[in-house]
Amino acid sequence: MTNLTRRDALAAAASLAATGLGLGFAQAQVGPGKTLTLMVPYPAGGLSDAIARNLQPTLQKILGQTVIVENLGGASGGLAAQKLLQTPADGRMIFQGSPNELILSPLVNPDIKFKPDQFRHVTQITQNPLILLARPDHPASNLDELIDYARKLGKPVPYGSVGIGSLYHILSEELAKQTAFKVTHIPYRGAAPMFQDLGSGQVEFAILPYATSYKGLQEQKKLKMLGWVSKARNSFIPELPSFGESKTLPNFDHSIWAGIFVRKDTPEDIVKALNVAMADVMKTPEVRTAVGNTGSIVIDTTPLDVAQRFYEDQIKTLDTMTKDINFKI
Amino acid sequence: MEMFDNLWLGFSVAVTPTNLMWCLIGVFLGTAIGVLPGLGPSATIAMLLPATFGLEPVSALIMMAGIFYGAQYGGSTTAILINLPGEATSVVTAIDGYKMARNGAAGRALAAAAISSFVAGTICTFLIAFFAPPLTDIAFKFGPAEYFSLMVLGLVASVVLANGHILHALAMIALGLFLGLVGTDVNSGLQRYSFGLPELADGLNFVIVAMGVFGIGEIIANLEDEARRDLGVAKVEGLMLTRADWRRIIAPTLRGTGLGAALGVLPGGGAALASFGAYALEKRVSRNRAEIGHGAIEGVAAPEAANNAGAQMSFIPMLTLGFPANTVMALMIGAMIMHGIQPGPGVMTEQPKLFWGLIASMWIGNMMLLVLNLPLIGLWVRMIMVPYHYLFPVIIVFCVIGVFSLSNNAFDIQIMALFGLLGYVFKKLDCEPAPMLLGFVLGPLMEEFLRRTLLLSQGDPSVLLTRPISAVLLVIAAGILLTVLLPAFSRTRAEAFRET
Repeated sequence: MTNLTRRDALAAAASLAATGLGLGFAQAQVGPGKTLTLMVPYPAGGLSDAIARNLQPTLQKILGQTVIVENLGGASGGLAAQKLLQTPADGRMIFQGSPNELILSPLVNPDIKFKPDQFRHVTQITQNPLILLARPDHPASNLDELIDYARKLGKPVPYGSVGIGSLYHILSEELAKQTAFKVTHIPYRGAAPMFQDLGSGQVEFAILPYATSYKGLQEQKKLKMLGWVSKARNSFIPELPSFGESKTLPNFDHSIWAGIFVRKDTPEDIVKALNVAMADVMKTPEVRTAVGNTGSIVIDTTPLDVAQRFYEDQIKTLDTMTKDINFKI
Repeated sequence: MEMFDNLWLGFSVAVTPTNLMWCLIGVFLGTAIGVLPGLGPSATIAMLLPATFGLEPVSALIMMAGIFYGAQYGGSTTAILINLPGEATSVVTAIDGYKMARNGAAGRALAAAAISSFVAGTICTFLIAFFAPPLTDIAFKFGPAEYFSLMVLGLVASVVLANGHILHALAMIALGLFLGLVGTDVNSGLQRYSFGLPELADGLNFVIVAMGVFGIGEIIANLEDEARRDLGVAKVEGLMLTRADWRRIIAPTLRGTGLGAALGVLPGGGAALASFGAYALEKRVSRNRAEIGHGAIEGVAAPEAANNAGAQMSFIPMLTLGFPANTVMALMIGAMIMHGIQPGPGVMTEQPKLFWGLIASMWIGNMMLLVLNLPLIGLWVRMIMVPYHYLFPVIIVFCVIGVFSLSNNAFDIQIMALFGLLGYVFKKLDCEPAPMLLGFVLGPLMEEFLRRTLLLSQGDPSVLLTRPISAVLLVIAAGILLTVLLPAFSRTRAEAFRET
């Protein structure tokens, strides 16, 4: 963060005070130092930052240690991931990451030097359902109709994504490949400019994580929601059909999630302590409400082995998918 | 009149003692960080975001908005006094503002900046209140083709920014375009000219480049030349505007406001053009156009009005649709989410107190800024009277702190030092850096929009001329190009004939 020095000083003062009072009680202390950094790989103000800021006070209380949220954006989260790998593996820096920067970036971008397996998955914390959006005046009103329309169009269908190599890009390509129609990828820097071109009908469709503003934007005729990219409907908008109900792609089921990561070679007891602490954090009602308000689903944390298996599965799935559509920058 | 009821509601929210206090804190902080080089509003708001957790959402947003437009005021102060624009929008203010300061008219330049900003802020507050929803729809008329043509127009107009040789200006624009290429290509994801350095993956940061070529470059040049060094100190005339000044700034302020407001509505980078465009416009239509570029008050008033208008109008897409036009707006959306308010079209109807309270606070904030800034002018002017050997190390230290604060990366400081040297070389070569910075800002946008246009049209460039708005913009650009180039050509021809 921008005023790191001041916060460091504050943290140092706080820890000094604690030792001065003889409060060195043996709680689930993580790492030798008393200050923990929660690294957010995107600039402040985004969704992942909002989640981290909501976790921070509770995590701090439960660990009994100062927790600082640090935002380091850049290279689609790659800069922050690299910084994590450069810090000592003592659990003092924990990383709030998603498959976008930890799995996909290294898979598709040869300039990213780290590998997904250099990170240890502590636990999953949130999940964001994905939604298929179309331009507001689109003739199709569900997935099947969109595919029908696309096949008849006679030219590649332009679709938008929030960036080359992002999960949404890969999924759109996969969707087009599985249903055999041609697409043109129009990459954008972030969702805001893409919504503009979707609203004016320049791009036909896009896959994006659900946001609470979509309902209002649909009423304002700025976009049209075609379906949940999952087997079942989601309670955020229960009247919206899911891909599971479609004839063409009933098994197309994807979502984006976020989890807590540390360096792979972090000592086991520290990883365990973090896992336990995160479980407590995610159980707190305030955290659940606050994180839920961001449009994310709070996921019950899992034991370490489950988390690790889940992460490995994700790596495999995405690896196959990128190979499948033969995608490489 | 529903609109007046709404405004009444807004003012009733904005003038509660608590909200007035947060508004004042916001504009004060904004002015302060605007004056500190490098430390921009987005860094400050990001820093303060967690602290706003405990506030009422409307108070938090009022304060953040205050920081944002307060920084627009403050940013022009350093541009005028020490040739150090902290934001893209105050680059052109530095051209005439700094010349005025060196001629001893720093006080009048600062007053003109403050007053024209206030006028623009006031007009735009009412524009937002009355026309926000219809203005939102204009943004949707602008697709990639229109944005590209708009950028072309901006770039062509920027040729007139240069006071010296037209060839120098063109070379500097080209250099700016090339510098804009550094970073990850949006369309292929490939790294260009980043030399394997992950720090360059997102391209060069505007603030760093601007502080280098303007601020540091100026310091090196001043240190070299003893006569230049303490010129700002030599003579300081009146701090307030004269009657003649008032008459000279009215029309430029209104023109700047109009242009800034029109461009600010476009979330895709219109605001970046506002101050450049207003300056270029004055250079063509102002009665005193010959003086512009040599310390004319119009060259301060017009761009300052335009950038404040653009900043104010960029709230529209954020408030009506939840689309952020810049990083500060993205942070405000983040703040709304953290307070449990869902950004989007619903804000206006579901949170009328927040929506109208924020709008009303903008006008109050603009007035506070005027009251806050006019008396400060005397203080600022005294600041440049500090002997240069005390002043310049302080400026450098603040630049370094500011740049470091952008991403906590020492690499950025090295980049700034490099551009500082480059800025000095430009001075020696008599090349003005403003066109380069415009090229640097517009280059990547132009490329992105052109390639997106062509992707959407399956490679057919004729859409640029078949879409009406785009065609009109390109025709205007061609017209300007002709009026600039033809006289230049005939002059050289005339000179050539004279010599033979």
